[in-house]
Amino acid sequence: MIWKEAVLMFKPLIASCAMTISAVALSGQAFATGGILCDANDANLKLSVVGTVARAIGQDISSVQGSAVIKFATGERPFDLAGTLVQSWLEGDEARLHFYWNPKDIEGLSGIEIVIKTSGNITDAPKTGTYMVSMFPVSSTGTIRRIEGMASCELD
Amino acid sequence: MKRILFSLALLGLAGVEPAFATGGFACEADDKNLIFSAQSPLGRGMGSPIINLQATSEIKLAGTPADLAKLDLSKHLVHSWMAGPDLRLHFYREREGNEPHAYVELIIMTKVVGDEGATEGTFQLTVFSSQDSTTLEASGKVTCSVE
Repeated sequence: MIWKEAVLMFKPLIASCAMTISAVALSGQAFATGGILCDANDANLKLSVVGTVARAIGQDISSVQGSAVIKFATGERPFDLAGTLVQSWLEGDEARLHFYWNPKDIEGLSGIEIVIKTSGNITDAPKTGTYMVSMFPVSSTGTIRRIEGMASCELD
Repeated sequence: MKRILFSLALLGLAGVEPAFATGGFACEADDKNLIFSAQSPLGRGMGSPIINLQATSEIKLAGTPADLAKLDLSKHLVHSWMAGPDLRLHFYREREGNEPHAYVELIIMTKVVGDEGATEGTFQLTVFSSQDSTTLEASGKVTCSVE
């Protein structure tokens, strides 16, 4: 319990360190990199991802690491988001990320998608917006289940 | 005619793609500052990733360094967004070799118009050269087709 409180208390610092370490360690060009951190945390989704943003090369996002815990009727399931970023957009005041993967161990689902869309042009303030989780059924006659909520992204 | 050319372009690309690539997009701009074209199949059922993108630019802005005037941008897409009404592409290519730093940045922002897969919007073009510290900028219209 104490550890959980400590993590929450120092979350901004941890995030900042994670982005810096990610930028320096994974890019090899620290002078030209920053980071992106996106979060969502509600009753249906707990998501945290961090990535390297190469400012000198068009703000390309790389080395994305993170996880998403999705609440299903049968309970919560964690997913590793590394390697699942299929689209991104960082331009002006917008930050958008699109993750997609095949949950091979969940019967009846062919794919899960998480789309995060945030915006905000205030320096040093998180960009805020929404997430949408879409769970695609294997059967073409099945129903796509969608979950929506609030999300935020920080760039440094 | 445009749709036929688009379909032929995708057929050409489809020959080297897995069978799941069943759609695609094509974009073009042609004005006094820029000739741009891009086309790519899209992987259906896998988050619609852009696969085997082919993109070229011919920049006609006065003052553009000669080595940046005609570029293959196929491997230089740094961001894309195709969801809902949006089709957006962000290209960035730096000068290669030992010459002073320079780059071309091209941002395509379009939205669906009508219901036949056509999108329209604008491009923002930036050409930077550190040799003489010049930044050239231009904007114009872009059209795309999505199938």
